[in-house]
Amino acid sequence: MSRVKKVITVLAKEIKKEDLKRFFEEIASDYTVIAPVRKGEDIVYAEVEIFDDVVLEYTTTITPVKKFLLPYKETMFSFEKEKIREKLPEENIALFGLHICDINAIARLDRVFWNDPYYRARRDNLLIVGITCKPSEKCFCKSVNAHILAPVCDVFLRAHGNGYQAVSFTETGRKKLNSFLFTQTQTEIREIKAEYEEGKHLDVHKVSENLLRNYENPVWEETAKKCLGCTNCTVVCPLCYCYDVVDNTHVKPEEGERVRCWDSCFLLNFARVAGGHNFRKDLKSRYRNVYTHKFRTFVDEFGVPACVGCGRCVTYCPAGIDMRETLTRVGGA
Amino acid sequence: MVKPKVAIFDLTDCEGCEVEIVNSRFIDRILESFEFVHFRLGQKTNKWENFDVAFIEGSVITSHEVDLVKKIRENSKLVVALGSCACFGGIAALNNFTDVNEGKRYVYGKEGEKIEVIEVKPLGDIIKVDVMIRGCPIVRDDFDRVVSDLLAGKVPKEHTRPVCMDCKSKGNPCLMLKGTPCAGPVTYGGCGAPCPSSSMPCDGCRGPLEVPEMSAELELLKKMASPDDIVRLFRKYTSAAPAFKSAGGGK
Repeated sequence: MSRVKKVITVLAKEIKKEDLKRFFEEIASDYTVIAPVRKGEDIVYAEVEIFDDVVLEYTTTITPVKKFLLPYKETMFSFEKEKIREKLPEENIALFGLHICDINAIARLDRVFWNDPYYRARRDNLLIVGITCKPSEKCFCKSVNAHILAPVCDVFLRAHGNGYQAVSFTETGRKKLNSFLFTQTQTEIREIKAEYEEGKHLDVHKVSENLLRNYENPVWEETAKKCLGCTNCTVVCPLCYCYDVVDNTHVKPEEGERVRCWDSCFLLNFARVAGGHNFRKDLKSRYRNVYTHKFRTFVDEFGVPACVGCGRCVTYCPAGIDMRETLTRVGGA
Repeated sequence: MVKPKVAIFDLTDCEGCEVEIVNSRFIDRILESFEFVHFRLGQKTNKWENFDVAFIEGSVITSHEVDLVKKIRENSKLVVALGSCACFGGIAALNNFTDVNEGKRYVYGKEGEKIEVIEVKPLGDIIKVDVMIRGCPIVRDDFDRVVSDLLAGKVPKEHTRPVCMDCKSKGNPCLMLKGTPCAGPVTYGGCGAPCPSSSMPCDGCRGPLEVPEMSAELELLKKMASPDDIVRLFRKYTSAAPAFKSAGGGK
């Protein structure tokens, strides 16, 4: 894996706003396009066939794009007596109109799943087209060092005057930019980053230190009282990727499939092991575990937090729990 | 191979769960794999013998039904409670909150006095239940999973999760965040969240989670619903389930 941070300078191209539709159509001729669309009052990522359905300016979507790389439920292989049939995913998906945080989440997922054949099969065929974001008071990507675009983005469209500056960090992306729709400029671009004032800035290094130092911080108990354990935050998190694996037979015991499906560390049985012991029986310890994993053990393992500051957990918690407040109390500000 | 002997009994209910069994994606295989010795709704000739598995659908609302389920238990290796009525009392458990005598008079007139109605309890309070298949009606895939596990010699296990997990993974906006009281956070999922996916709140038909966060849920509900509305939310299908009983205004 070559993930060494390189300083890359690229020359920006430009595309007019009215030409974006044709760019979309070029992509749609080769890929199944997933893009932000309206669903009632909310925005969601869904399959799009018509460019006019795409929402170009939005704050966030209910669920992230992880489901297109790690589906809610996926058959790993099916079996019939001794015969095993493995089918790796073959679809070509283009994620169109992603924000920096969601693209960086894919870069962080890569660190975890790069050697997973199912993830990799989808990832290798994936096209990522990013777009300038519209941050809200709930965004905190700067705090978790996820505001600078990772070079996994094939094409990034940066809002610029009456159109977009287009840059690419991958070979696939450069080919896309060869389209006649783009014109070359001499503008050098070193990095793409989200520029805004965070509603609340957090010092995650301090959080990381304090998590284990003050393990019995009263914040866990107090917040757990409010927490429903409903898993909404882990489902909407672009970096919650835990899964369970089950073997399902289809009435006849010799025939069935191995399935993996999303799991959540908020669930009671998540840390229950053979013999019945449960390492995290109460919600307090499960609530704390989310943070120790995201801001400590994941950092120890992969060098970055398992959080890109997208703010979805803050926006979609039914109980109104603000992860930033918990982090602040752990010692982040 | 000797086919396992199966019985499907129905008590006071709508037979909707049995319809879901017939709707199974694997109904042909199920009919091949078991010997149905007692299945009133599905066949003409029924016998009482020792059952390997007895499925019991419906609520127990008479002493005759109490005797019947005890007899089934004595004759069965495994008992599976089928649907919300058997698991948690079902709609019939609403009796527990009303003046039953007045109801009997209203519906049946003087004749009604002869009808016996007892307190409606979950089947598990009367006999030992080995497996529960939840829901009103059950989800046919749950039935397939249970019979598949039993035939494979496994103890049927579910991936325990709240309805919210099914709901949010479908990308639905949260009804609670829009001010609609919903039982999703404390209700046993696995249904695929059909109600909230149609903008209808979850009314808990699959019963409470093993450890539902009831106090956090009730605190939150208070902000969007009257005490009566909260009581009604948990009363519909599962008011006899211990965790929902008090939230539903029962003792």
